Amino acid sequence: MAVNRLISILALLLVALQVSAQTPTDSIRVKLPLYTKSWGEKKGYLTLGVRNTISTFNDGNFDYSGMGVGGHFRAPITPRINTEWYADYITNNIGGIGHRTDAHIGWSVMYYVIDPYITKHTSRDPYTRLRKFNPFVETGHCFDYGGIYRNGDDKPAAERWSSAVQFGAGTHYNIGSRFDLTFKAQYMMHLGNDVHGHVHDGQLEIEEHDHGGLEGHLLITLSVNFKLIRIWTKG
Amino acid sequence: MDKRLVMLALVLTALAAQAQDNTTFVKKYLLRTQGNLSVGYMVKQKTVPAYIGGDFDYFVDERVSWYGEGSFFVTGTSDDVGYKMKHNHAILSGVNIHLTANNRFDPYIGINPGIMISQFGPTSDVNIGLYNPPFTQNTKVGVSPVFSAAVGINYYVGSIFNFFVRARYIQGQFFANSTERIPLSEFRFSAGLGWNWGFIQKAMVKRR
Repeated sequence: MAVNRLISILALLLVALQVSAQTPTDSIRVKLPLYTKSWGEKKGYLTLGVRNTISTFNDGNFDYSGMGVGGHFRAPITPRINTEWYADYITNNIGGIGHRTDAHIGWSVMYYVIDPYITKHTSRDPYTRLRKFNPFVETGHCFDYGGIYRNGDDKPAAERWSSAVQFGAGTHYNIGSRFDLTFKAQYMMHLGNDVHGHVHDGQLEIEEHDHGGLEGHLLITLSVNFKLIRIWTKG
Repeated sequence: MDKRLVMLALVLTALAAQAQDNTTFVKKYLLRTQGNLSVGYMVKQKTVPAYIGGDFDYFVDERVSWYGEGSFFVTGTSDDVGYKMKHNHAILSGVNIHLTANNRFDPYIGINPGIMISQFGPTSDVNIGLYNPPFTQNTKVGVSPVFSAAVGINYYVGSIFNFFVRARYIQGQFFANSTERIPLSEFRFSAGLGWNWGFIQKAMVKRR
């Protein structure tokens, strides 16, 4: 229910943004926001962002969805390859009788599947600009902490420190030359030992396994990002 | 509730498309701040907490501002759910996307993730046995990640002041050492007078 409400709000926000972006009024066209100053010029910015992450499909159960908050910065290497360095803190409900907290700190490499820039070589008005949407695929690695608590307890019933790999896809939605909204989905698989909790006959059962598996969680992330400092210019 | 959200988004979009004014207040490098009392409505608890808060918008572009907010829980009742809120402070940050630029009239939408710092305790009614309490003593203070989105309108009456009205939705959940999950879903409403720090804008323009 909570996830449905979130998704409906996000949909509304995106619709409002899209309508706004298409409104042909002078006030909105004050600036050509996606244009670079020179034709052929591509710029790489150190980018700072804050984000919410919805963690779903924990141990195969969609009911144990969680909410997280975090931040990241991005350092692009080339116009089509970006790196993202992030930290997240996520809490998950486990059937109303327990909860799980996860902390992730890691990095990803993002590859833009189409060139993020459009260059038009017209004799009258040549220009280079960012595309409105920049779809990407990404993969990366993180270190993580996971703790499972029985509700009411101060200390975790089980916890583990491990690392994980993640892969996924998403897109930037560029708002002007310095801001973007990014929506992405990643699947994270934990390496090393595994702990998880589930409800069985009304009781919280906690399992610990020495080996990791393909089970993990789906992370859906919405972030808002500001391009802070230009670190390179190409072209 | 979803229908109301749709209506609000439609109204704001229509306003953004129509409201035009040649007077320019919303510009790059503008810093606006405000302090206010706000009221909330906790969706699950059906209670009305009150907050003292402050926030800022810094326009790094004509239509996009970096946003930060802090709010301090003052009071709130929640007798009919068996517990009461002791603390529910918020720190939020993100961006506000302004639907028009170079205008007195400034409708916007915001995506502002953050954290809530909360604590809950038993109500006095619980102690006399009217309800089944989820806990019999105060929980620990817990930090909960939250999603929040806002819609609002600023109206710049001059170079120094602006009026504002804002509605915000917050979604999160509290655990700490509570014996049950406590939803933090909340609508918040605030309105009042904001300040424009024009000299910062002028200094930044001069520097560039």
